[in-house]
Amino acid sequence: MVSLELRQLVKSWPDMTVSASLLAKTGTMLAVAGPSGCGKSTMLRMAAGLMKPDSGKVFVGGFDVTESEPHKRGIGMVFQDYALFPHLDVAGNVAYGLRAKRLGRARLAERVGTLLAAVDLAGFEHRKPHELSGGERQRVALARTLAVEPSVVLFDEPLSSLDASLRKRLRSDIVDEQRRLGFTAVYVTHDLEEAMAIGDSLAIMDAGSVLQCASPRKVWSEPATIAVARFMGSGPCLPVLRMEHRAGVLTALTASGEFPLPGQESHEPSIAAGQRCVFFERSAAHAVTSMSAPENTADQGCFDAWCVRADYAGDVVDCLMDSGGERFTLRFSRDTAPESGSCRRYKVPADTIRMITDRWAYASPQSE
Amino acid sequence: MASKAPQRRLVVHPGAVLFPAFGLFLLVPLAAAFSPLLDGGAVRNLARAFSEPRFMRSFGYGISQAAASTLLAALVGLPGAFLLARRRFPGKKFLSALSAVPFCVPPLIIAIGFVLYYGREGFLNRSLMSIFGLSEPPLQFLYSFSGVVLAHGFYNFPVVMRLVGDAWATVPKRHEDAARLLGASERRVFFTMTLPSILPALGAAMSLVFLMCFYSFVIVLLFGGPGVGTPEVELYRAARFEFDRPLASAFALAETLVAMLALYAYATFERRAAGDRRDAERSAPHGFKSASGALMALLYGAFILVCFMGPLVSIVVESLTVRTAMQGPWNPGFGNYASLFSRRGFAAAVLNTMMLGLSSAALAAATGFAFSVGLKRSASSVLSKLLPLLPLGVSGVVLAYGWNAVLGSPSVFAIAAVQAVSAYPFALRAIQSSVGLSDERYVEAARSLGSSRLGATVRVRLPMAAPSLASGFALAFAMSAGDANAIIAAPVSGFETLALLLYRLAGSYRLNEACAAAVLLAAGTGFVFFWKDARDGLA
Repeated sequence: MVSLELRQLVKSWPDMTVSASLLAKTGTMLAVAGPSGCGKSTMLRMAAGLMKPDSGKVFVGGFDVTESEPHKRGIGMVFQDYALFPHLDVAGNVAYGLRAKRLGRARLAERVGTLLAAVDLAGFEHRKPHELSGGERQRVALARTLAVEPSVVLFDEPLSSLDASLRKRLRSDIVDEQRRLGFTAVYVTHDLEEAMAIGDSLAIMDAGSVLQCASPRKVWSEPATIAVARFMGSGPCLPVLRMEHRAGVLTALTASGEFPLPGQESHEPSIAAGQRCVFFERSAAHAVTSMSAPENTADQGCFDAWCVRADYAGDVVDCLMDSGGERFTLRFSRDTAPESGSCRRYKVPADTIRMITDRWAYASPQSE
Repeated sequence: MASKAPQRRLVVHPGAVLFPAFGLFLLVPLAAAFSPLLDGGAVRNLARAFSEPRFMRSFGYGISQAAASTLLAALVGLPGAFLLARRRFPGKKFLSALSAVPFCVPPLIIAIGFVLYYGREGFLNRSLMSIFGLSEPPLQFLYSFSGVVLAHGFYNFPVVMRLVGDAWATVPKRHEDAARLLGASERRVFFTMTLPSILPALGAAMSLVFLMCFYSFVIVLLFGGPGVGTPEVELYRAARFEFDRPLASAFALAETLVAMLALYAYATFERRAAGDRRDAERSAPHGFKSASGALMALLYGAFILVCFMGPLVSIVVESLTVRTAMQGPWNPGFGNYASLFSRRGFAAAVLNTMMLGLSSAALAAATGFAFSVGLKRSASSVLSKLLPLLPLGVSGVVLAYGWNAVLGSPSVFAIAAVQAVSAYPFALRAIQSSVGLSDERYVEAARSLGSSRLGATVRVRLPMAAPSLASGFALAFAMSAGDANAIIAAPVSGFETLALLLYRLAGSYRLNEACAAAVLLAAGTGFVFFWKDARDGLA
């Protein structure tokens, strides 16, 4: 098994430019998330060779395949709704790509049988796609794709038209198969939750370019830019009014409050030039009672906010907060959640506060 | 609730109106057309008909000419379908607009165009003779089997082009992409993915063309020669000149049965073609990749221009040519139009055409609307699939003959009824494409807001369907105004329409005036057709 690397793949239209660089490491699942129309599918189609990029290169296992025919790249693809051929039965679908191998009739049937058995569909040879359940279709699609023994499998929103519960089950099936068979995979989806659950690493795309590529955990708690943070919805972005040194600590002043940034004294002025925001995870803020916090430190990392609306979500409560005109969502455990309409003071631990900007600080998209 | 139940029953069920209306316009004349068979025993009459050599010969001729014409239409139409679906090129709109021709240019005009262009004295022969210095016209096929097939094939190729082209354009892109990624060559992608996706549409288009050619009347009447004609023509001869009503009925019955088989094939293909492909991403048409591809398209375009547009253009040219005693150079002028306008009865013919077209179009559009609302609610899928198509399988000549038998004498009402029934399947198709009719949610929303069933139909369905109703109306008008079959088959004395005038002018070899009338008629039907983009309803 090998890796897939897209190096500065560019495709331009009059109203949109897709410019993507990505690395899917050997044997891992790279999830790509982004809003609809951000260029995810275009990137995938360029990687598969179904669309010619204006510039850039595609490497599979270190070999440049940019000029290769689609089927000579060692790339397989699972399409939206699986795109099973409706006029062929299951065996016909799975055998479609095996034709070039010129196996005999018996060998072909044997191979199809083996492939179907591998996805737990032995005996389904003569069913038609419309007679299958959603899960069975997915496994046929996977068997069809794996029949040609690709080193990399691309998934183009395969689950987007299914209902939520089935989607959850099928995505864990995909992960199981990928782990078991060990192929390298790129999984594109507009569903952030799906992307975080399925990916060993997660790339966030918007407006044609990759904004961040890291582990889902890192993207969640350390978004590279304001755009990533807003797309992830993992915490509030409070606009910074100005930076000051308070008691030797660099402090960001926002309309809501003052947030110390310990350990970030050597803040680069160049980054500080753009729009800056204070970011912390949505579950990092805790309400303070006047007793527990001494007055002199109460201002540091604290903000007052009133709860506009509290949405009960089972074991947690998502509260829409308003602080200094800025609206954001915080997540509380059931017992600590504020009442809707109540105004309280919240404190954020200093070590969870980060500063992000509207521009990407990293030089290379592959760095983590 | 208890008090509401009886009230509900008072609401007229659409079926209660529709089925009698349908029965009146379709089944009554049909029954009347078949009933003379019973005079002296149906078996004896049928046996006599089958023992007549021309009976079987005419069916052999009718079916073989329709099959050959269908094949030709498919051969000419398929490249056009490919070009419309997959390529971008200048003149694409024009090629696409040709799909209106089979519906808005009456067959009579096509026939005259073919005479002018392919005939012994036609443009093609004259050009070939002068170029190669021939003393005999080289092309002498017009008044024969091949002439009929050529006219039918060219006349109907846009039907194949349009229906198959639409299916081709909606072949889901990801199926083809999946095949490519699995190592299929472009050739294999075509044969294993694209072709199976367009085959049902091709089958539907070909069955439709077969039906139209099998029932073609005027072209066979003019080019078929004095020998055996199609069943449609033989039925006309038997009823009108030999007064052999049992024989005519046998023809009517047998040809309706043959047509029903073709109709069954059409319905089967149509159902399979109507797969759910709305959401799937499609391949966008692109420019030509290779010079040879562009060259092939250019050759195809030239072929269409020479073989198909030629006859149509020669009608316009001929209508503007003033014939003088001596054969001089081209002498353009509006003399033919002037003499046409000054003809006694011309104004009446125009008026009659309008009246007839409007009334049959109103009839077709109204039943079409009522049907598309009513069928939506009828549970039986067979009924809702078959009923709208049924009139396709019944010829206008048979219906006109039937009405004659019912009413005792030809009447204008009968002609309007026949034309409405003939145009109705096409009008219905246009009307059914409306969102308001295909999506029940709008009506459900109106009903939940307190509208009655009728109120929801009047205030929601009707306004939403208005554009497609207009298309259906325009389509039915164009087809009815251009139709001459019903009037030729059952002429009403003193009642003349433009189409009939055209037929009589052509019959008395006043071709220049006939061409002027043809241009006027085609301009009228074509204008109505393109008004509101009626051709979109065909797809």
